Amino acid sequence: MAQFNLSTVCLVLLLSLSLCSLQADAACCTKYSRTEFPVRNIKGFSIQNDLGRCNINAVIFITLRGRKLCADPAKPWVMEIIQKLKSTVQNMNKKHKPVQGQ
Amino acid sequence: MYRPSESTEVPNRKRKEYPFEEMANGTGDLPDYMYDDFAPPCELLKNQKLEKIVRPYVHSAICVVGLLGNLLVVVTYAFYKKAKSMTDVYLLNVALSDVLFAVALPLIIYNDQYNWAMGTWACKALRGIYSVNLYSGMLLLACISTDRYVAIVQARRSFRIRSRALVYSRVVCITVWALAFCLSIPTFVYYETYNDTTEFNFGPHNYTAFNNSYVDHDGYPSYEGGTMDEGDTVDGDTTASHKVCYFRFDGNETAQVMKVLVPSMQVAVGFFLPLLVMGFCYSSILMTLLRARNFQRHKAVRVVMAVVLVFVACHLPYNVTLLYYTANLFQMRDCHKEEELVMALTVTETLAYLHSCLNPVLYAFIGVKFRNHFCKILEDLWCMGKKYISARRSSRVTTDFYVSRKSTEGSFNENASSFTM
Repeated sequence: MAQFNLSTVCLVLLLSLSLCSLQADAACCTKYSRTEFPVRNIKGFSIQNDLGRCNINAVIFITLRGRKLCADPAKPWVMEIIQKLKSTVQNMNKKHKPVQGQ
Repeated sequence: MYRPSESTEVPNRKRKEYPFEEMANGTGDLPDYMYDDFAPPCELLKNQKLEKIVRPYVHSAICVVGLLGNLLVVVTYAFYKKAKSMTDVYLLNVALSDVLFAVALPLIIYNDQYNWAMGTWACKALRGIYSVNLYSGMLLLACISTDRYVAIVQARRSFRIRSRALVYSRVVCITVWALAFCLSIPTFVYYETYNDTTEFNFGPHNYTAFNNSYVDHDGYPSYEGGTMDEGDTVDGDTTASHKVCYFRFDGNETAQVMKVLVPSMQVAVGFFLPLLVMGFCYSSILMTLLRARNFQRHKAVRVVMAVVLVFVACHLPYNVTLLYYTANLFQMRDCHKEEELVMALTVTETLAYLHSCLNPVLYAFIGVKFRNHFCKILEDLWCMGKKYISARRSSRVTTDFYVSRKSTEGSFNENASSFTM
């Protein structure tokens, strides 16, 4: 009896584990870029905070080619880029208001 | 909505000055010398490859062997050997803790792969159970060493408490489990499943937007749209829905404190405290054994050494790595350094898991009495099997093949017997 249950459990375990297909974890910034980069190369940004899996606060810029770069949110040039991106979007919203939802 | 336009020529006037755009190419990598200047998020690809091998093969093997060994211990105690001495109660509890651990671990791995489909409560429960068993397992090993210390070094005093041994050991076990639960409360409270918001993918056929992002459209006529919401995807490629089960805090201060406190407690109470207790108890036992004139003392010394050495070998690397990682948690570091550390954690953690399937061998099966009982189980199973086969062959029903063998117990000291090989 016990033996039967045991082998069933083992089988289920093996099956469930062999089905594993690895899913990529999100990458975290572990340090900041030292060089400033110009806003014209930046497409957008994301915010990383230290409240979850990642351990430092950071701004992640996405370049036109899709490269992600970590930046220090405390640096003035980082805030500048964000302000510029924000104003670009605001201008765009004014221009496209009838077309764009949101 | 958003159309991938990687192929579109970018009107980039100052290309030469910003080589990262040239090098990057969306999918390519930066040359090594540039990592200092431009820091991309650390992807830990090597660790992912390592986990891809370790999790399905090594961890599953450890879980299966651990489950088998520890279930045998539980079954032996449940059907053949009433837990009589203090050591028995502790061994049974260690086995139970290891069984729970071996059940929780594959479920955690499974859920990690499949987006935590079981939800936040499963995340809390499984992670909590994992933590409770980690603490209870380690603390119970310390209890076993104290019990042996009392029996061997303080032998005279131990006679007085032997009569109430069962009560004591039960109280101790309940205390240990309660303490393990209390130490795991932060895990129960702060573990959650959530979408990883830093997850985004700007590949050519896969445009996944993310929280709090603004998009600049300068020179990109094909990207139409304003701010995007989390999980806004094109081409049906939804990498944004990847859920993780991990700590999540509301405030910066709680995050900073808890992220250090929880692993520190694990290293302090889940490793160094039992190590200290075991170190003291087993070294005293060794002194007593070496003074004694017993023909079995060499074997007992070997058992003590094995127990301590295996414990240190399995848990020291992981706890040292975890301590180092936690001490430098909030510091900036290069990606390859981070990757080395995380890989070290993966490897040493596996080593620590291994201990849960060595426990039945080191503590239970090494004892003569336990082995006798276990052999009885095997005999009975063998008998049952033979009877079953013969019953099927001759199609005759046998009723009295179950033989109770409880009366064959020897009369030597429980504690000495758990040392005897």
